Amino acid sequence: MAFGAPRGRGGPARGGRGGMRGGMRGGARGGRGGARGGARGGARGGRGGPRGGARGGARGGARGGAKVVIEPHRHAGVFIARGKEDLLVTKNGAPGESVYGEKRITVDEPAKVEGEAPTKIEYRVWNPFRSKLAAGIMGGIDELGIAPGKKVLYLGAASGTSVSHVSDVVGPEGAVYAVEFSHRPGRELIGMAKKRPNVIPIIDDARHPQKYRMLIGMVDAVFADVAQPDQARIIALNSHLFLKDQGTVVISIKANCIDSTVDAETVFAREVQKLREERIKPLEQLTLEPYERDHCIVVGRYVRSGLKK
Amino acid sequence: MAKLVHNVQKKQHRERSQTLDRARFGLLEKKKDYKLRAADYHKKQSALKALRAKASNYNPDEYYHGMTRRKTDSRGILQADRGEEVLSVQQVQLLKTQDANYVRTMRMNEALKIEKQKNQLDFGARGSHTVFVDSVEDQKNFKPEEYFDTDKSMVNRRENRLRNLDLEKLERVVNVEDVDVERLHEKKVKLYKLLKSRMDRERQLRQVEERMDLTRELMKKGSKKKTVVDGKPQFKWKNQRKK
Repeated sequence: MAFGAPRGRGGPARGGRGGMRGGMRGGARGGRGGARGGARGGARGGRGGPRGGARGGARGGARGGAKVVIEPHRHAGVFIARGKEDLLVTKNGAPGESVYGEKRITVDEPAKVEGEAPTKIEYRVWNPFRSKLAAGIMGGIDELGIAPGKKVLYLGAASGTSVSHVSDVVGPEGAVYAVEFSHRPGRELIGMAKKRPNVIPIIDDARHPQKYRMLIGMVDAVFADVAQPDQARIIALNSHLFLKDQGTVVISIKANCIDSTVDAETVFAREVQKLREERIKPLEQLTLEPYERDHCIVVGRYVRSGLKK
Repeated sequence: MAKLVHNVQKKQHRERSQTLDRARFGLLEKKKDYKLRAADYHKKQSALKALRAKASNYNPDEYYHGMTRRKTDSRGILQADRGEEVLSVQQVQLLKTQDANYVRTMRMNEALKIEKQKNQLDFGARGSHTVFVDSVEDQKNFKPEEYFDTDKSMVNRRENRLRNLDLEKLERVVNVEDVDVERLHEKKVKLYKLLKSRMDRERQLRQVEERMDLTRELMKKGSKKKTVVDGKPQFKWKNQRKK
């Protein structure tokens, strides 16, 4: 299912079940049918397909029935929806659409002025089992560098599922520069960016940041999920070029991708040391259990003048 | 010719029914019922009589053609074929693989659902969180509530440690007045119950699958030894070189 094509629930976003079925019967594109096929592909182990519910997709779960309490989060722009299940959510920057078949929750926000109708706010569920950044937030990372109005360089954007949530968090004043090397997920990334003006997709090799230097200004934070043996170097190159002094670096490390011959802890320690050498002062390190195995997130601060010895 | 007595004047005939005190014997038996029962009884009696006569006249040395085709067991009871079609061992094995495949499909289905639901309900992270500090003194004086700039009660609330500033403002603290917390709680409990029942089912299916696999293995050739370990039968096959 192409991400650029009109997706899923053909009718209006708030249409009931009946509406969807109608759309399926008459619609030439068979919106729901496509989504379902995708879900099946996901179940078989394919990576791209939306995983969602086997049936009903976005419909099931937290949406119907009882109310949901939206709890503001330590990191501005992120929220926790406490309902019959607790979910990490972000405010949808492109209301009415899911990017990768994730659930959406609509909440009535009472009007600020007395007597006016309440406004509806749509949130998108951010699954920590699919996004390492979400897993990091769930694990209680202290500093993220990603907040409303910030400019973020996102290396290893893949098909833009996590990028869409980062774009929700930074909001219209912020910007996300999403770098991805492979073309196939890159296409989906571009499709997503079409609907989100604050996402700038860059299909290029992050090893050569000078190639795309004209597209990016100074950024407040760099998030990297590149899973390459030389990822510390890649991150350093990009940080030296684009990251402002005292900016935040958030790195997701998959131990297996760096060195599969030694245990994860050693790999993490080595990576942290490499970052130190690249003028990035490590602040905290968090392993991502139970969401990922042998993964960790390291947060650091970029000190342009160099670290004290 | 029609009777000249008016119908209305005639006394109504009412059938006898079982009296209440004899109700435990069932419906009152009428003559037509009795006749059926008696006929059945006499038929059976005469059959028994004929069989007894046959048995008393039985000559153990006599030859019957049936003897060549039929068998009796040690108690002299005829081992008759029940007329069912016989499947070969291969056919039975095939059918059993199909059964096992179905059970496995159902189990995998269940396992997938369990995994998904666990992901939904398992909200908390368990990873280890390391904070890098500049010196040993900093390490000694480390206070998580200070580092995370939050209240002491929130330190263990990993997914959302609100900052002190936000806690003071109260603006960002949730107002739960208009939410039916109890109903949400009920729903949550329901989800957990569903998960539990799924896990039970998955466990049962796994046992069934193991049993089926074992039966199929036992149908194969190869000498094996049965042992009982903790009340469970276990089989050990003789090591044999395969081609």
